[in-house]
Amino acid sequence: MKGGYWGKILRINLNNGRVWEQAPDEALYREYIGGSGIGSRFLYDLTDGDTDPLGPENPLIFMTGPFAGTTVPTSGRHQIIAKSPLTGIYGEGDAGGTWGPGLKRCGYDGIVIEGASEKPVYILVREGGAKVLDAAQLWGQDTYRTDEMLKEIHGDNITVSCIGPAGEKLVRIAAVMHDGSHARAVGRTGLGAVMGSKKLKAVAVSGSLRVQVADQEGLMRSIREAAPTMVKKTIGMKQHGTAGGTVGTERIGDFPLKNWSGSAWDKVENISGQRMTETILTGRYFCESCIIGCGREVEVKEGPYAMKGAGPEYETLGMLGGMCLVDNLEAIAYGGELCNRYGLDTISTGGVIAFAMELYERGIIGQQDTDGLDLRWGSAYAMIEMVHKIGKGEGLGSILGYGVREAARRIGGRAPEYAIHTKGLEFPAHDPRAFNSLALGYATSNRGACHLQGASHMFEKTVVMPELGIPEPKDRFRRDDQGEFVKTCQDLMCILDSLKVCKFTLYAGLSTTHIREWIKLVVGWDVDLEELMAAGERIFNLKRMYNVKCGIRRSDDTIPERILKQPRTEGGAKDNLPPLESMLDEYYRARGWDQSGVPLRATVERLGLTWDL
Amino acid sequence: MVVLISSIYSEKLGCDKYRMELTKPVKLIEVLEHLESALPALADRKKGRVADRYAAHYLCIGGGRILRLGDTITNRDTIEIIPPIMGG
Repeated sequence: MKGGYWGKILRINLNNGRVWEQAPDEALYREYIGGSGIGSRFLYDLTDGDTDPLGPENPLIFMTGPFAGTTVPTSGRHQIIAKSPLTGIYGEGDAGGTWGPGLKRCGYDGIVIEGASEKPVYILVREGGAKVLDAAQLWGQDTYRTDEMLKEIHGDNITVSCIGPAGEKLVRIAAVMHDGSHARAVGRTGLGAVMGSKKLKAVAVSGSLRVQVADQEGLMRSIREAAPTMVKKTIGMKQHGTAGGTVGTERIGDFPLKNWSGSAWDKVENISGQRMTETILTGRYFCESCIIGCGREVEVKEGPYAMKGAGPEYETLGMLGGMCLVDNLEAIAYGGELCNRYGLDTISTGGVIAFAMELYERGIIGQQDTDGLDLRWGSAYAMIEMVHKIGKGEGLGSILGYGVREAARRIGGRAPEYAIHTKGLEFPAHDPRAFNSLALGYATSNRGACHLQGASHMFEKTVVMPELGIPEPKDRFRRDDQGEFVKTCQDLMCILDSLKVCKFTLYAGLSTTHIREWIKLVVGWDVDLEELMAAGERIFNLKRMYNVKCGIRRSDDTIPERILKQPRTEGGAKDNLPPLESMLDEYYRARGWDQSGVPLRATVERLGLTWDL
Repeated sequence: MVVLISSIYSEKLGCDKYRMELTKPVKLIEVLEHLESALPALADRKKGRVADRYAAHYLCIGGGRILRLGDTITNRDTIEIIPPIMGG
């Protein structure tokens, strides 16, 4: 390896404060790339199906990619991996911001944190080492204040990954937050609770080492060639953020409404990115090395929702807005801000609140369960109050904080019918009835319902990748030709999640040619397309094998009846229902899995995943 | 043919519907080139080709499909201009 990686991973055991360095073989980097790939390998090796996600034996793994700290566009991301306390299976999330490159500048590719401290601590990583420090004064603080306090102690050059009160209280939908009020969340699968179970408040990094690049001049030339087009193609996202897609997604029947029971919504423009730009937007921010700049700075100057901080993303608008039928942009911005400060995943938080609103409407729960709160659709006040209750672990919020699957089980009766999740993870703000491939992607995603683990819908909107057999965008309602397609998309996303390159670059025209060229220029490896895609396939299958260890089989590869049997009755996806079972058969064949969803021995051997057999 | 204009754009463009007479089937890109010259605000003051702006600035749907610039449009068609659907 001539560049990109340091070849060093920091190991920290919070049981005893031991810190040491591990130097993996180059083969591990080449076969698993970084980020999600190397993280999943560590998780597979260190835990099994019986591991308690909130026990000290569950490692919390922070991992960067080979491009972090270089000028490769959008490479300032990192991945966090652990067994999920929300789903009980493979858990991971990623975020942009500045933390990943910050760790890289300390001389490490990743950190594996094991054990648990008896008292609150934080980790400070600097060049060549790390210290475990007392966090008594930080415990109980929200994530923005934690970021500020650590900067007051260690200076503005540090970058902070931390949990808020939700993670401390082991709320199962807790996020790990980054960069203070320029918030970037590792939101999904409840990894904030894993951090809380270790009494680990924060991991702060500060370094100044320069990441080596195999061919700096060549890299600069390549980026200069690619960047202008990429900037042009994503200009809309810079103008209006991810929220700029709100109106369009509603129009094509993709936007989530009323706990997935709605079809069209004439109030969607009230919460659009364009409306945000006209009203509360005060600035924009970029993740490190980003050329898109989708981050929003917003300010609500007065009233009950006065706030100043990160503006709501598309997902937040979908989940706290459309899902709850709240069309008050300021309230959603405030709700998103609260989630950031408590350290809550806005997707799951909106999902559980909408679920509770439906139970309330149907009389399955009443005001005796909500501490008198009138939890009706469209009530911004109720939505905000529930965010507080979930963040604090109070009242009904303490139940909803377990996520919809477990909350439904605890509430009982018909509640599970209205819990919209796959494998325990709440749906994100994209409807599989608007893209049949998303149904298959949600059903088979290794972390539960997720649009980004396959992102096949991007290739059914505007993205193309001729070298992978996608010369033009596919028809989103087609009922066959899905197995191989979704497999390819998932393998590609494993590559991006391991390189830690933002998936929005796909909209910018990123190709596998760019990826291979940048690997060559940064790391010095000649990687052909076959090797690259095999790495993605290996990583996806390793996560599946982990989930098989956790008991996952075909019956878990599904989506709720509401999505399979109740069509949207109007709007852009009217009457479409995804044919999941037939797509699943096709998919298993493409994957080389048996009909119960277990990778065949030949598949495992082909991918070199045999060390555990 | 009829071009419906999402209300996000209608104020800026000064209309919510635009009618065109097509004497023969044409590609979507040709419809948009005409539309941008008739309603310059659609291009948002950006120079260059429609192909550079399509999907980044706006998108078209028709008959439930997300349209590609090479799709054929006939005089019987109704299409709609909506904001881009990136992100999230």
